[in-house]
Amino acid sequence: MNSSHFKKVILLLVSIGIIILVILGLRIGDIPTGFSDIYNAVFNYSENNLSELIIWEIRLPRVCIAVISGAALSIAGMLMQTLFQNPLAGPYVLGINSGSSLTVALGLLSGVQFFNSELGLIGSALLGAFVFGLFILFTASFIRNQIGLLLFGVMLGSFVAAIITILEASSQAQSLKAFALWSMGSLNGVSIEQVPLISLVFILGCLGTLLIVKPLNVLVLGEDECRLMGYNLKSLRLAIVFITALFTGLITAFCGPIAFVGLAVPNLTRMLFKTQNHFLLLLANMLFGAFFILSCDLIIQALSDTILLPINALTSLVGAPFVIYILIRKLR
Amino acid sequence: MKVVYLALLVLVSSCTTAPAEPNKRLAGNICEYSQWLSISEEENQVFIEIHNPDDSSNVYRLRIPNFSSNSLSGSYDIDKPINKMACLSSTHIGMLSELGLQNHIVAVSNLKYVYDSKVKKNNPIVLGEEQSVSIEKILNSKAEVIVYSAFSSSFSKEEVLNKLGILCIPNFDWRELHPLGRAEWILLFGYLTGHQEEAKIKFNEIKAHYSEIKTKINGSNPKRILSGNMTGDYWYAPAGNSYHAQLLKDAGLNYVFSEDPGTGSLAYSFEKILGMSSEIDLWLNPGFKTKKEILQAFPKSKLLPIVAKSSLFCYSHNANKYWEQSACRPDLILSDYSELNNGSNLDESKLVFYKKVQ
Repeated sequence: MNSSHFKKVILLLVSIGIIILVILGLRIGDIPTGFSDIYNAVFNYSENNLSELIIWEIRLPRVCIAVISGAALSIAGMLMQTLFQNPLAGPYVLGINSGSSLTVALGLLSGVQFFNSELGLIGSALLGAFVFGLFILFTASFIRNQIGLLLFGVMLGSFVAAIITILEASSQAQSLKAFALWSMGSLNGVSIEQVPLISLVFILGCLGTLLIVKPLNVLVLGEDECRLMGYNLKSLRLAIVFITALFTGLITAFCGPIAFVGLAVPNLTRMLFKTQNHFLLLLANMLFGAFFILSCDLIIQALSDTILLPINALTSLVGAPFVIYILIRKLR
Repeated sequence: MKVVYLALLVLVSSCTTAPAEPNKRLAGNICEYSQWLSISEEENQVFIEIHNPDDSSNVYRLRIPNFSSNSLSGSYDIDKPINKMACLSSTHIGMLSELGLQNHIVAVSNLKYVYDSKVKKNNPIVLGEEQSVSIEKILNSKAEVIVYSAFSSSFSKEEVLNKLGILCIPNFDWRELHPLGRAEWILLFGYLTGHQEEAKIKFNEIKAHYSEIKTKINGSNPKRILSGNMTGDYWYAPAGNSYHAQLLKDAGLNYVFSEDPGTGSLAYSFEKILGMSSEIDLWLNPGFKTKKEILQAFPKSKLLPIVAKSSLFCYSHNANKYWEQSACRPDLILSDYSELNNGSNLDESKLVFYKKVQ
């Protein structure tokens, strides 16, 4: 089997896996449902039928956001890694998530009603992600060392965590509870009415990434080569940060922080496909990211009678050892 | 790798400490309902034993004079009735208030959560959360005794405080499963302060009132009750053998999870709740004062038919009152629940703790 054929087979298998996981996600739950219920819920929905109501209002939004969050965070991670030429870069490790967390914490813990609303939450998460993205971009211009930049991200995360701890210490119990729950991450908060908006923003982000695929391929060769090829490096960097912030802010706003997906999945796809073709990487990250979060969600649902697992804890449990493995491989 | 981590998680979650057996009672124990408190009274001394529900070998013992007889014999853990007490939980404040001993409270965890106006007026010293209380503030309050709830396995400041001559007494009223067992802890405060006779009278009144309401309850056509609310991804509700479930049972209400074993909380997915929601007559303790707040915290609540029916009741409009008084006054909760069982004929003015969620 040649390399190109192998890649196609892998992508096809993951696509089939996603379809199976989506069907399982719609089928498995506390209330028994059949395939006909899934069909009716999607194509012939009646809210008077309990099974269809549960599939349409609860399971479908959860499955949709699982696909979108996995794909979006993985693409964001891929963009960060290409921008910083660093396999350890990712929205979580570099602190873009921390930016979202900080602004959401400032909003929720301030007790101001607006920040508790949907618009307030999304706005603050996007703002935090974008500001911190720009800050990291600025910092990266003088921290060239890959491990140095990583450490900077970790320190930024610690700094933000300290500010959040101070905010928590002086917060009302209700605000504190809201923030603690938000920080665990959840795929259940999204309603069916919100799915079209989230999908639209996600598609726009994907289209934006498609538009910069060529310069991304050249950026891998180095910044000088990118300039020589006639690309505006400043605009390219800004576009990468903007798309990353859009994806990270969107997912953080609706699901809370979901750690390590943006770091582990892009590394996995690069290891598997051994390519710098960003069109292929974009496709692979979308599929593998969606597959990963759908799998995590299915594990959470399957184990819910035995143990209650927040999504953020599960992705960290799987992602952190993988990152340690990459780090050890890199240091060797 | 995933499998290994999940296996580890499952293993860790299954290795929780098994609850200790209910206490082996002291000879002549006067506590009828409490599982974890024993009191034995003799002419010139009183023995108090507090058993740790999670560790049967961990028993806190006190030997105090029988303050009602005034006859002393040997040395005691305390020589005279306690006049200054630090209370780290609302229920402790409620019990002392029920005895009219608000002036004995010299320090509390957080004044924001105190309901009793006399206690607030006395402006007790604020010590902070149980695990981070300031020793200097306790000394400043001149408290002779500090009563703590032991939510975590131990009270970290106990050793130092004992050296300073301040008794640290654990209180496991929150682990009692019988409503009257929880109320019976009022006797502990009575004996410590030398007001044991008043405490006994008060407890007997509560017991009599509780039994009276229970016997009056008409068991026909009970209302089907849902309790709890969504916290994060799960609906947390009292388990079938819990304190709260016992109260609902005694009130003649049909609690939907009454057959689900356990003494703590149950965690269920929202779709399970949705699956049973059409049969619900009343939703108790949604955790908010208004439907708007419920829908803001968890928008999918709108899918529950009970929300449209408006049969939602909660104590949240005055949560401090509920947490402070309810442990000591289960008869008043029972009275509220039996009123709620009247359905459309209920008289809201008769409710003590509960109010309709608007």
